[in-house]
Amino acid sequence: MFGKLTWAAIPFGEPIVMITAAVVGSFAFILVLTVTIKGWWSYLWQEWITSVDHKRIGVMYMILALVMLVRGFADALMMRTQLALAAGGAQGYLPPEHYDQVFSAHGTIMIFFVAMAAVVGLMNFAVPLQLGIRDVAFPVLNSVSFWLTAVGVLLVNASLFVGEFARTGWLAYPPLSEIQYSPGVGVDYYLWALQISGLGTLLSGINLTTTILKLRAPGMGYSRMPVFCWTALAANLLIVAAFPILTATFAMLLLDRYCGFHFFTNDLGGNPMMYINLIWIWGHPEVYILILPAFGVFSEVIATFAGKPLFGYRSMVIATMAICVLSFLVWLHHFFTMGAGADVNGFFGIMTMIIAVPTGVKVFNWIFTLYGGRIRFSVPVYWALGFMVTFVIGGMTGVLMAIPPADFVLHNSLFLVAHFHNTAIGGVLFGIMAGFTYWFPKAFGFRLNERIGKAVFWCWFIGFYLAFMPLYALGLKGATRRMQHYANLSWQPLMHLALGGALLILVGIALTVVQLVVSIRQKDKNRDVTGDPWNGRTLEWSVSSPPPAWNFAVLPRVQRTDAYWFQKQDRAEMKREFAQRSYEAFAVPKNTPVGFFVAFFTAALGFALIWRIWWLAIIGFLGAMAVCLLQAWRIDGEVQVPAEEIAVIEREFALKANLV
Amino acid sequence: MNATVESLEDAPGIPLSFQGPASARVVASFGFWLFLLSDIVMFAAMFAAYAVLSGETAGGLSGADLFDRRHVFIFVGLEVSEFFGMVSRGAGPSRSAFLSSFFMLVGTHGLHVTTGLLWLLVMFAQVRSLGFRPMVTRRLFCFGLFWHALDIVWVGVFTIVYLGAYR
Repeated sequence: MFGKLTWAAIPFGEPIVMITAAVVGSFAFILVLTVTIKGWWSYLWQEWITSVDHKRIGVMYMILALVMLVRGFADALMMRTQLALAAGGAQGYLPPEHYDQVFSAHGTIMIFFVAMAAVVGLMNFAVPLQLGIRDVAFPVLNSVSFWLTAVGVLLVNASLFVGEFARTGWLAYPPLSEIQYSPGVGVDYYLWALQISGLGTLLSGINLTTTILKLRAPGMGYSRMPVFCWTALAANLLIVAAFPILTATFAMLLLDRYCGFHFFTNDLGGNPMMYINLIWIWGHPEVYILILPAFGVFSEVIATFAGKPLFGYRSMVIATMAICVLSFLVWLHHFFTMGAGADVNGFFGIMTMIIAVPTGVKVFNWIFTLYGGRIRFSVPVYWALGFMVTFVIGGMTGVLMAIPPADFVLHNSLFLVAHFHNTAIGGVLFGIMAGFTYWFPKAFGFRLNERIGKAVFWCWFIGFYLAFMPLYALGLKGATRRMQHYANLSWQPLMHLALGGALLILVGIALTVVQLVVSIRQKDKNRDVTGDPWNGRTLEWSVSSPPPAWNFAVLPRVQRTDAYWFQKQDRAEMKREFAQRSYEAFAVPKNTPVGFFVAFFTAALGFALIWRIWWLAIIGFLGAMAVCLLQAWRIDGEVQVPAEEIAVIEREFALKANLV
Repeated sequence: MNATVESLEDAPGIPLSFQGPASARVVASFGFWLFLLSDIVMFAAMFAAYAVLSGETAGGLSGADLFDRRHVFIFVGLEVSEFFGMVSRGAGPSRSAFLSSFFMLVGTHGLHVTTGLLWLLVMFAQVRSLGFRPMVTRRLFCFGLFWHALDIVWVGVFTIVYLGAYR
C-alpha cells in the first residue's frame, strides 16, 4: 500500500533530526496560526500564490532562496563544527552516515535552491522592467515554473524528517549512487527533487529567453539593452541548452536504479565515467548560469553609483556572450584525473585559461567605470567592491587548478572547496545581496536600512576570508573534501579559524533578518516616492515603486542605452510628455491557481515515486495532466484594464514624483 | 517625444529588433521552438550515451542480431512489438549497457510520439469545442513543429541505431 514507506522511515532515534523537526514544526505551526488568526489566507491566495505577475513571482523566488539559505547554512555550520572537533582521537558529534547526508544536502540546496532560486528571482523581477514591457512572454508558465521549484524544495526538506537524503555528494556520482551501493531512498529524493525543479528551471529559461529576444519596448534594439538583460539572456540560453542534459542524465540514473538498466553500473558494460562527463556538460554551464546574472547586477550597480555610463558596453556584451559559448568547452577540467590523456587534458586546461580572459575584460570595465566617477558608497557598492577583490582571488585559484599537473595534486582537496566557495560566495552570493539591496525599494517602495546593510556586508566579507582562506592552506597540506574526521592534530587550529568565520557569517545572516524587520518598521522614513531612489539609469526606475501590475501604462520609446538617464536630463520635456499622455485600455493576464495545483499533484507524484507508492504516483500524474488540460480550455485568461483606472494610478504617481 | 520615434512600429526602414514587442503568434511559436531545441539537446545526450555504449553488449546479442530489417521502415506500433519481441528473446534493457541505451533512446522517441498522438486528440477536441480561434491555431502550429521535430529525431534514430547496426 505505501511502498517502502513505514514508520521506520522516521528517524525517531536521532536527536538532532528530532529537535530540528520540532523547531521547524513549531515555526510552521505558529506561521499558519498567525496567518489564520489575522485572516491573511485569502490575501495570500489571491495576491501571491495564484499571482502570474513576474514581480511577485520574483519576490517569491527570493523568499524561497532566503529560507533555503538558512537551511543550507545550518548544514554548513554543522560541518564546520564537526571538523573543529573531530581531530585525532575525537570523533565529533556527527557519525559518517549523517555527515555524508549533511554535505550532500548542503551542496544541493545551496546550488539549486539558494543560488538558482535567487538568480532566477532577480531575473524574473528586473528583466521585464528593464526591457520596458508589461510581463514575461508566458506569465502562467512562469507561475508553474516557480511552483515546480517549490516542489523540489519541499521534497528536499521532507527528506530530513521522512527517510534520508543522499550520501553521495551534491552530484551523486555512480557507481556509489547506484541501487547496489545506495539502496535507501536518499538518492531517489535527490533525483526526483532535482528532476522536478529542473523542469521548472528549464521552462523558466525558455520563458525569459523568449521575453528578452521577442518582447522589448519600441526602440530597444539589442545594442540598447541594459547589461543585466544581456547577462540574463546568456544565462537563460545556457539553461535551455544545458538543463536538458541534466534531465537526460538523471533519467538514465533513475532507469538504472528503478528498472535495472546498465548505463553507469560496473557490470554488463555500464560506464560510470560517462555520468561524470554528462553531469559536468550540464554542470559547468550551470556555474555560468549563476555567475553571469551576478556580473549583470554589478554592472548596473557600478554604473548607477558611479554616476557614469558603463565603460565599454560593447566589450561587456561580447565578453558575456563569449563566456556563454566557451562555458560548454571546459567541462573536463572537473576531472582531469579521469586519465583522458595529456592531449585531452591539455585542450581543456587551455580552454579553461581562455575563459578567464573575457572575465578579466569585465573586471577592467568595472574598474574603468569607477575611475573618475563620483561614487556614492551605498550598500550595493560595498558588495560590488567586495566582489571585485574576492572574485579575482577565486578566479586566480581557478586558473591555477586549470593546469592539469597542479590539479592532480589539488583534486578533491579542501583547496578546491575553498576555490569554488571563493567564486560562489564572492561572486554569486555577493551579487545576489547587491541585487537584493538594489532592487528592494523597487519591489516594496522603501529602502533597506543602510547601517545594518553595511554590517551584513562586513560580516560576510570578513567571515568569508576567515572561513575559507584556512581551507586553501589545509588543502595544500593534503586535507581532502568530504572528510568527517582527521588524524593530524596540526590541522585543528586552522579548522577552528574556519569555524570562527562561519560563525561571523551566521551573524551576517541573522542581521539580514534584523535588517528586514527594522526596515519594515522604518518604512515611512525610507520611503521611495519618486520611483528612482538611487538616481538610476535604466527603465525600471522610471515607474513607481512598487510598480503597478502592468509596469508601464504606456510602453516607453527607447532611443539609446541608459534610456531613463537621458530621459530625465530634460525634466521639462518629461513633464510635457506626461501631460500629453492619453491612456488606452489593455489586457493583463488574470491570476490563476494552475501553477499551484500542477505543483500539488507533482509533489504527490514525486513523493510517491521516491517511496514507490505506485497508486499515488498514478493519481499525481493524472492530476497534473488534468489541471493542464483544464487550463488548455480556459479562454478568459485575460482581463481588460479600463483607461480611466490607469489614468488615476498614473496621475497619483506623477503627483508624488513631481512630474506635474 | 519626437515624431520619428512615435512611428517606430510601422516604419518599414526600422530594423525588426527596434520595432517593439512581437505579436502573440510570434512569441508563442518562438517559445515553442526553444522548447524543441531543448528537447533535441536531451535527445543528443541520449544519442551520445548510445554512441558510447553501443558496443557494450556484455556478451549478449548486438544490434545486428536483434533488429528485424522489415520493422525498420515503419514505427510506433511496431516499436512496441519489437520491444516485446526483444524482451522475450532475453534481450531486455537490463541485459547489457548497449540494450539499456537502445531502449531508452528508442523508448523516449516512442514516448514523444505517444504524447504527440494524445496532443493531436486534444487538438481535435479543441477545434470542435473552441473553433479556429487564435489560441487554437497557435497550438496547432506548435503541434506541427513538435510532430516534425520528431521526424528529425527519427531520422537520427534510423541512421545511427538501425542502419548503424549493420555497418
